[in-house]
Amino acid sequence: MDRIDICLMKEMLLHAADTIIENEPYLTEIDTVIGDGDHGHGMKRGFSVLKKYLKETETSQIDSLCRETGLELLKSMGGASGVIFGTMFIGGAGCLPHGTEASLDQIAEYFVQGEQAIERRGRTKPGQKTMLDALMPAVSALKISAGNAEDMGTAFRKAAQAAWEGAQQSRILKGSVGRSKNFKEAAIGLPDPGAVSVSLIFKAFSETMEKEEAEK
Amino acid sequence: MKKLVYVNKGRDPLKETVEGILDSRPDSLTTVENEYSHICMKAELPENRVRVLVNGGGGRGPFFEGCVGDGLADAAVSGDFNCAPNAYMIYQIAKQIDCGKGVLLVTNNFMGDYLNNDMAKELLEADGIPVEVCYVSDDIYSARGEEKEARGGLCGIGFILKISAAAAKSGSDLQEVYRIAEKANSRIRSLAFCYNEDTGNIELGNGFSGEAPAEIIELADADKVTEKIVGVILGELEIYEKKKIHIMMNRMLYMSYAEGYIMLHAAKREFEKRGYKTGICTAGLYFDAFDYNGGILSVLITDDELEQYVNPVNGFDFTI
Repeated sequence: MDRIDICLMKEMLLHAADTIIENEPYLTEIDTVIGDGDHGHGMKRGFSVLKKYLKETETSQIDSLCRETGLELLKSMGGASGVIFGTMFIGGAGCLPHGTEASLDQIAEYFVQGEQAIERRGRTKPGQKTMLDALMPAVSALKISAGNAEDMGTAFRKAAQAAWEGAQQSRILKGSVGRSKNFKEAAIGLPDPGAVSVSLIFKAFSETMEKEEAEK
Repeated sequence: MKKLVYVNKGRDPLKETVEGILDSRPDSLTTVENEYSHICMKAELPENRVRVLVNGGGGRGPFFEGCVGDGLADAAVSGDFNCAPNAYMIYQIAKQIDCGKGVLLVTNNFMGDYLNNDMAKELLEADGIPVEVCYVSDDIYSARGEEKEARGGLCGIGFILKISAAAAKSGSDLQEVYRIAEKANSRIRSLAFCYNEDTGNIELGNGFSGEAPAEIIELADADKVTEKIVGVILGELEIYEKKKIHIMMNRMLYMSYAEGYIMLHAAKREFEKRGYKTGICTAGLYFDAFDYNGGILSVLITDDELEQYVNPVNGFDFTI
């Protein structure tokens, strides 16, 4: 498989929404220790609204689908997470074709641009115990796979693995932005809740891809 | 967070809070229905001038749902409990209240508030609406040893609201209103103090999210506790000319009316003992951020310019 079409993109987003909703208790648990405890709740609300949108939308343009996904999250979540996860899906939408499918090159560039938009808005870099610690490795993996002309399934499997490792590595980091900075030492040992969310999203993307390949 | 008892299952408690606020001031306030944020705005927007929009997390006392009125904000957008409202709603309400002179967004300096206001500003600018954001950073102990810009906000935002509203009313343009608001921000300091039932001590500088207190002192007479708090605050205000200090004593959820005024009185005496003239002194429940018997002492040190914008403002159920 070397392209993602609109139906598959929708499936990926739907599965990501379900995965976040299922994991709300865990996200809440870690954010209660190192943040203000609202991350899981906000993510669940946002991705529930997104799920409803995905089921109802009839858009056949992949760029619109991704941009609207970000807007739904932004509007329904509020807080820092709303802007950050909204931007993850809105920031690079201009790299996607206004059509029914996208290539791995385009998808990789889409996520790279989204990641950079978050760095700019949050004045944050990877390494500060934020969601970027998972997103950055994931988008880099996608970019490398695109460069090597790997297939979609492999690219997303590697991206999900990179995101998971990034989230796990955030355990050893001290927080230096947002609320986690107030917990500096106490935050060591727990992964950043935002990074865990990114890792769950990429895990869901990869699982959807695998399922799609198995069915073919 | 304190468990809310008097709520209705299946209904949004913050939406109902706003509805109750509207019931209490039916002639002057209105709302805009929205699923994800809570809006209070003036039913009639007055003269042709710069507008002031306050925003922040919801459900924590008059700050911010109850901050709309004459001499205060023109509109308030609040998010869920402890959660910044979304950028899109801030943008939409700002756009709705603007009359061409622009909007000053006022919010406490937390990550979520910063991100949403920064994005709202970008959306407004794209529509050609003049906009500035004042990020209030009065909490001395929120970022110890760091720049004031890195600090969070507490109750000082109340001073900023009445000062910006007065500046806007005087006909100043957006840049001037923003400059005055920022000047006030640089001269406001707040310190939270909480009585810890378990240890019997007074904790200074606790964070909203359970961040450990910056300092713990033994329980003592109100005057003694106040002496300590005032000392910390004045340590930061020495750079300004010893003019007039305005005092706001915020009671949190479990502090009594009496204790609020006892602490206000103690603070006024302490500042005067140290050679300051005191101006407007108020006590009340503005921001019930912590579930403690405790309060937040906020002070504003004025100069001649700021002084002209500082008058007591009645916010319906509180005075600033």
